[in-house]
Amino acid sequence: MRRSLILVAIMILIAGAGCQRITRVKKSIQEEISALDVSEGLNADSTLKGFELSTYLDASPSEVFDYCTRTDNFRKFFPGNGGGSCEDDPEVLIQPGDNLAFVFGDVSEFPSFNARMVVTRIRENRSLELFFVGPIWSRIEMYIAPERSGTMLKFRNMYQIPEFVVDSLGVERTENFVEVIANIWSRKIRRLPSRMGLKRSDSEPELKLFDVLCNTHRAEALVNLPPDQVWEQATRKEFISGILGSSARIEGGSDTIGDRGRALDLTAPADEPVMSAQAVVVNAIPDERLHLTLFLGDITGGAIAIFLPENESTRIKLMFYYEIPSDEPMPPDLFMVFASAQQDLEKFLGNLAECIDPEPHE
Amino acid sequence: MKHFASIGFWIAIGIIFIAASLEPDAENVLAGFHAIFPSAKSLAIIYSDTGSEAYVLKAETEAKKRNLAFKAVKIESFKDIPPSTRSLFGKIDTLWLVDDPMISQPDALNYLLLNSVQQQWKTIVLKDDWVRRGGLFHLTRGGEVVINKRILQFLKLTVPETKLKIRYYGEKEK
Repeated sequence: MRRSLILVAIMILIAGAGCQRITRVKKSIQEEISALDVSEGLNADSTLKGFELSTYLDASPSEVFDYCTRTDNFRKFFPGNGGGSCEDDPEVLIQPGDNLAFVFGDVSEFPSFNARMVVTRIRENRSLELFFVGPIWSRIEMYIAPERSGTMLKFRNMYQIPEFVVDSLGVERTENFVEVIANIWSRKIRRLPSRMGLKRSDSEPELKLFDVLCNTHRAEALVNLPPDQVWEQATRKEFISGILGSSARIEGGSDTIGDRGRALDLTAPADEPVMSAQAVVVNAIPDERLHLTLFLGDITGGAIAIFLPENESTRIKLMFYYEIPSDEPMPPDLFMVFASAQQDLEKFLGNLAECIDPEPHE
Repeated sequence: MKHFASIGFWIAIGIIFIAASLEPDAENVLAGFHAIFPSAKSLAIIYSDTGSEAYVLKAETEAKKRNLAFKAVKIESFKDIPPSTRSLFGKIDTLWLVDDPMISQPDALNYLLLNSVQQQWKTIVLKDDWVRRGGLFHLTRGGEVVINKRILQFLKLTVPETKLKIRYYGEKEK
């Protein structure tokens, strides 16, 4: 029960996190990118499309990790070099929440688009995980493992392509999109050894295309306050902690929880079996929208809150999604937590709406 | 030539015999399941392989014998699994997961078992291990019933008095 409260707590964070605009990026870029994140989230029957590339590098894991986490090197992996650097970008990707502005250049027949890349998880010399927010969402995992005298580098890149993009590109072309991107990455990875000052590899990177099944849950509530007031209430850490009570502890964040790039930890009380969860705010548009990437054990998911004005009220739309593990069973405890995800999401939203506005509402 | 045809015939019979012996008998499975969960009214099977069709047909016959509504959903590719599953929401109370190459994939199985429990569906599963992964009911070839206690409790189901030998998975030790 307490574990499912952690899930509820995450839902609370969705509504609670984020109210300050990023100051370290140029405002114009920020506005442009925010405006492009118009996706309502995963479609009910959505599967993520992805590809995996593996290559051997004659360098140590730490050398590969250091190379990949340098922002200027990292950008070189992308078509058009990711649109060049922004003066406020971090030079090195160090921790969850570090984020960069990206402009994806024209790729084959597909139009260019802006996005923001946020580090969601990082393990020194082992892995780097990133989320791209834009009209097309993308998630990247880079795994670094010692192999023979060098390192095996594995890229996994997954895409969620929203309906309106599908409509404009056509379904067949959307299928092609991932293949086109996979081939571009393949060429970039092939050139990686020489870029790193290593002997060029004789072998081709191994490419594999795959689908990831996703589950989504949705809930809605109407609060008799305008969006700015709902946002203001729900972004206070104290308010969220009050709702959580003793069921979970939030670590990280500031008095007003949020900002794009804010990383938060949730832990169960000490007397309960430990199930920790991490959240990173990948997009925050005050009074409008909040998007978090979530890690629940080994499962990657996300949550989106959309605040829509409705007369003098606010309709809160919540969505919780998670990827189904592809190579192993779900841990039984987590399985049971997900089993009641829909009920927990609805219950949470009801409680949240009641705490924000105790007056009767729809 | 006639000689080779004869060999081919016996090889085919052997393959069918081996395949049949690997799959628990549909009649026994459904008899055991219905004895324990008589509230079941409608069940479905999602499958991809033409090799599963014979078993699906047998399952349908057995379901009809017990006045259970039956639906077989054939999928062509992996990405058909979510829409096919969702097409059954609100229409069935039991999902039968049979031996099928696409359904047996870990992610497909995770997806189907999780969605089943979220939909409050009972599940009949092919393997003992699938009960551990979140399935509700399995009948071993030795005639033993394996039930996931946590799922049973989650679905607020009870097991009636029965002569069947039942082994519970996930029962907390006292």
